[in-house]
Amino acid sequence: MHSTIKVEYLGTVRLLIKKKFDIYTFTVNPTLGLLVQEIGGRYGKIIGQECKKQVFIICEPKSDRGIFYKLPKDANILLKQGSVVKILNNITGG
Amino acid sequence: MSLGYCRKALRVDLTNQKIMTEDLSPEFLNGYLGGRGLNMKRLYDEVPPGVDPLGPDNKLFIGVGPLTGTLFPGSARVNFSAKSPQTGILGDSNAGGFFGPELKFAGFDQVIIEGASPRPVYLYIKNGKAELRSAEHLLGRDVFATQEGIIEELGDTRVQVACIGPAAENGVRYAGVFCNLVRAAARTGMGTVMASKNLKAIAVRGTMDLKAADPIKFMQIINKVDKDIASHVEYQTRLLLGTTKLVHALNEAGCLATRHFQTGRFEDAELVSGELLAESYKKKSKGCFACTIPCSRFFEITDGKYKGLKSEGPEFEGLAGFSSRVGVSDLGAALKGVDLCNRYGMDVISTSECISFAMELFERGIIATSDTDGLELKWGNSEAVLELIEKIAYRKGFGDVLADGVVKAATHIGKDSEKYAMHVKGLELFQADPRGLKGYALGVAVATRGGDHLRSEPSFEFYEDPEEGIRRFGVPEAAFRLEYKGKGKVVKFYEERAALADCLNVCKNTLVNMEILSFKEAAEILNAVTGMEFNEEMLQKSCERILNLERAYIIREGIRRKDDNLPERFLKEPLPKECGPSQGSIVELESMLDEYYLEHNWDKETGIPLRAKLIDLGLHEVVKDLEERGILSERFTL
Repeated sequence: MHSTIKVEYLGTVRLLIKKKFDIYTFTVNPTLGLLVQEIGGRYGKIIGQECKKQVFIICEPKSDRGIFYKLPKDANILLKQGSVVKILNNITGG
Repeated sequence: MSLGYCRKALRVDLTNQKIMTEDLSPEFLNGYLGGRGLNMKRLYDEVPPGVDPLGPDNKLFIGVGPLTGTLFPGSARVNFSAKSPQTGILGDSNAGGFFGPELKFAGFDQVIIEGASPRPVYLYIKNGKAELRSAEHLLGRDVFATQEGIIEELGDTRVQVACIGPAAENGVRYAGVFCNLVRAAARTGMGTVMASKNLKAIAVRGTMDLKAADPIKFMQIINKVDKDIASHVEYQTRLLLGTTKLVHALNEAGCLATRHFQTGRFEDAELVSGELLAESYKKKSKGCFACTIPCSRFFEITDGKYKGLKSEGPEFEGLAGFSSRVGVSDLGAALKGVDLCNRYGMDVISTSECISFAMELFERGIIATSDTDGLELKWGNSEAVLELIEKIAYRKGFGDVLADGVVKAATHIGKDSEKYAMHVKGLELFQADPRGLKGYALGVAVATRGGDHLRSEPSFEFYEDPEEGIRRFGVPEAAFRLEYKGKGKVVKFYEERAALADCLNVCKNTLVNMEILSFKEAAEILNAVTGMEFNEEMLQKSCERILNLERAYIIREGIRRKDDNLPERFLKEPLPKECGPSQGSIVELESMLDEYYLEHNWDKETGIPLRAKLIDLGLHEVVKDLEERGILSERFTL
């Protein structure tokens, strides 16, 4: 059984790769760390590194409430089939 | 030649058309550092209670800092300060661009404007000298045309201009001073004060040398700072998006000011996002003087109704102010709204609050088209928003009601509308919902210039790292935006950093938000520039002194703990379900206030600084003044 994760790019990553979203497919439910590794594999090392600086909002299927995560501390969070992961720049002042 | 400081102030008596130069003492510079600090000391000493903010006894202070005009990244800022005609308390606002450095190159750390001119004038400062010139021909011109007219008249394209637009001339109480067209010192009505003095602009040109006492050490520190900025986790984001990154970011967090804070989630955030602006209309990046992380941009709208509109900016506050806050999903209209405010010379935050306030009243049936000159103030009606901006600037019809700020508008309208006015101490609130940001909620509640986020910017609460919370502020909760514990400490810490940035007159994006430059490094670089002997403790204490002086100023004007408050909505109405991670949030302010006063060593019941604290900071004259006024009584002795 495959696990499908939709990744929505916002902020810096979206502007760097010039794309709003991708669908990633895994043979098992991936961790957040593995997903970011896949993104780096698809778009190159610089993007992979930039991703690691961002915030990840994971919205599980049927949930109305995304949860914020950061790397490296949340690298082992398991992503469920059908989850949406938004990659967003850090929220800081302006 | 200047070693950090020019050690000179220019005093301009407009009533008598006299211009004098004053020496600045080492004690004054040591104690109050620069920019905001110098201005606050003058404000406390020279503008006593009872002064009419729009009368000749109010004074306008313009200050720059010891790093202004140097190679320090973002050393571009300049502070404009006076008693505020918008709030009746402390007025202070800060702008980037190139005006501040040019003032330094012209030989001055501070300009003091007093009295009122019998005829419209502008002040021209050049290399240690100054003159007043007629501004009759500039009256009524917008900010862009005023700058253009002055540069043309002086025949020097390198002249830097700080000016006011028609909104200030028409007495709009939240009119700003605009440098380099769109670099606005917009908050608290400093442009309105300038207009009350019949001063249309200040033009400055300088070619004087700035030197460092220890140039090698200075360059070593600059190189390190440059590297710290370039390797910072936020570097790319600030470069690509600047503060417009916050539209999506706050929306995802469920705390983007939407339809006048009725919710924190705007369903059309994508259509007005910084990302879409960058992809659609951005032409190139734009920075201030000596900037290594240029976060602004030139844009040109290439399609739709506003095709052809070109300008610089906007910042997040203007972008969200004329989109999510008023329910507008049209990026072009939002950019047009910001452009109009820039041209008329008005604060985008206060303007967007006044308009969104009126829209909420309209939607609730509290006001009707009979009150609004026929305008249908429904959410998303961008035409009405743009028309209302113009009406405010020229005080036409319903615009006249909104031109004095949201508090006075609510008083005028009545019908219990005050509870919908989103302000603190008379200053309208920013574009983030405090319910989802407890530290920011505390910061705006206690800010010395009224409801303002830039007095602290406690962005540590976004770290979401409990160990960092313990390491830096003693409790894990400090690192989480929806938690309360530790926020008193966090806000005080960032207040001091913000004060440091405003006194060195460098960019807050780097110094506060990115936390570039520790107090220790700041002391080292000041020593390298000025040849004076600062240390980390002295510098931190100077910032604390300035904060306490500001607090004493507003205490003297009658502010107490009861005024360190938030609008009722944030205290009682939970954020709705669509706000995701912030849903259900309100602000429980009191416990944070207790912790905050304790951190500052201020009286918990009243918010008045304790005598011992003021004495420890060397504010003996403030103690004497507050005692003589019966404000600082025995019970405040430790």
